[in-house]
Amino acid sequence: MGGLKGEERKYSLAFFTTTSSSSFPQPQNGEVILDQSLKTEGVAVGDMFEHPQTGEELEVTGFVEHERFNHAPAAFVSEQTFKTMFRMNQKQVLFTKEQKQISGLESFSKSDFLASIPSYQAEQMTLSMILWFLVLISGMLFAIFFYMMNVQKTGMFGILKAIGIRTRELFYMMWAQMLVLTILALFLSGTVSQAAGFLLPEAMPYDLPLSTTLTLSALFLAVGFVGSTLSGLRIRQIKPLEAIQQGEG
Amino acid sequence: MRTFQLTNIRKTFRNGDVEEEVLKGVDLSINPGQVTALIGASGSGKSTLLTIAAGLQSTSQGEIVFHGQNLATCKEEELRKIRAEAFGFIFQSSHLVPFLTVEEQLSMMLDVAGKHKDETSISSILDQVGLSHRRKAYPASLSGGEKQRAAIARAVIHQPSVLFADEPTASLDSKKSQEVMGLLKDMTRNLGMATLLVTHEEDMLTFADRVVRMEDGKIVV
Repeated sequence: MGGLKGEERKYSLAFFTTTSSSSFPQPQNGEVILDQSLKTEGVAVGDMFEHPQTGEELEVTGFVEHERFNHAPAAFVSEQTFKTMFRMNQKQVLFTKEQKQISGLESFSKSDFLASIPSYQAEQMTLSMILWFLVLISGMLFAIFFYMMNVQKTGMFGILKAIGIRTRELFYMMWAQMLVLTILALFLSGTVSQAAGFLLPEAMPYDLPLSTTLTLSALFLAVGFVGSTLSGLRIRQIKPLEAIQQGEG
Repeated sequence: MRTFQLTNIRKTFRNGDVEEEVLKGVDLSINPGQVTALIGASGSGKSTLLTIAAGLQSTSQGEIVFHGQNLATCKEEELRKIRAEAFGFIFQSSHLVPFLTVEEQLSMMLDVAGKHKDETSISSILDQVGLSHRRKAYPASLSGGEKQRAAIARAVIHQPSVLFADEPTASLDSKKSQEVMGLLKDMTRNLGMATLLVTHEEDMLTFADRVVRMEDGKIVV
């Protein structure tokens, strides 16, 4: 961790350097490549920064997307610049695509490494709990919505049973209604939440991959199915006459 | 020819240790092309008799003979089939399916009765109930009178042999009640149905071909 001084202010950054890696950018000596979140703070290609401790001048030569360490934007510098800035010859982290045991080094998987970041696990656990709690509450509301919507129409279903509609046809009706409403709702909410990813400021830690949206959509479809099926089971048990009398009331 | 014959119908309800006999041996026949009105004070048993005749609840004793078949001994699926194909129902509330248009309500009924969707008969019934211009309308956009006329159209689109109408004008004002009852009488004549009507409104009796008065679970007139 460290910082760089610009013309007007100082930026807190997490510095990285790599050797012969295709996974990370490879700037030249005297250059720095920054996370794109700094663009929104007015940093542009060609800007000059100074390292406060060493006086090293660095020119911004590009930006990378979504490269942050903890909450600090990443700054990629050359190996020589890194050595000058931090006065150390040994690498702090060696990244390999597959996990290897190397003598004298401690090996971490990606998830172990992330867990070793100070307060990362505690923060993620809190966020995950909030997230899944919201999913649980929304799911319950969704199921209750379909349950109540159908149970409120008990009188109508009673009439339909009285005029001779089979119970299974009432189920098809409830499922069709649920499908239409759910698909419409998921399409709208999916579009809005995906659009939010493009519209929200870079500094806001918002990441909703399409795969997560699709997984949650499938989950909500299943929850809606459960809600409407439960109401159907209740309506199946009710006699047409009881249902009509409730509806008349 | 008598389409529908009820003989010695008795119905007893049990409430804890107390037994209450609501129908005490009722005999009634209803005939094609006629509106038979059942009247009586609240609790006289007229609605119970209608729902028993329609196969919506069981009888404690007695026979309900429809075209030679005793409905009192039919299984639930047989009753459902008879209700779908041969009976029509109109209740106090129209209970239209909220997400179907007027036309779709009729198509659904034809489907339930196992009949082909027939645009001509749908148009003809909608003409008769005066809803041709509202055929694409959803129930939410219909007035009370229009909803009840749509319910009548749904009840008769499959040309049932028997029409059961339980207080069909109870939620309507006087003018709309007259319209609906006039319509019911015309439909009964035109389609040759036997209509059993339960009402507590004396004004509506002018539309009935026969009036049957009930008191304390028995027919008195």
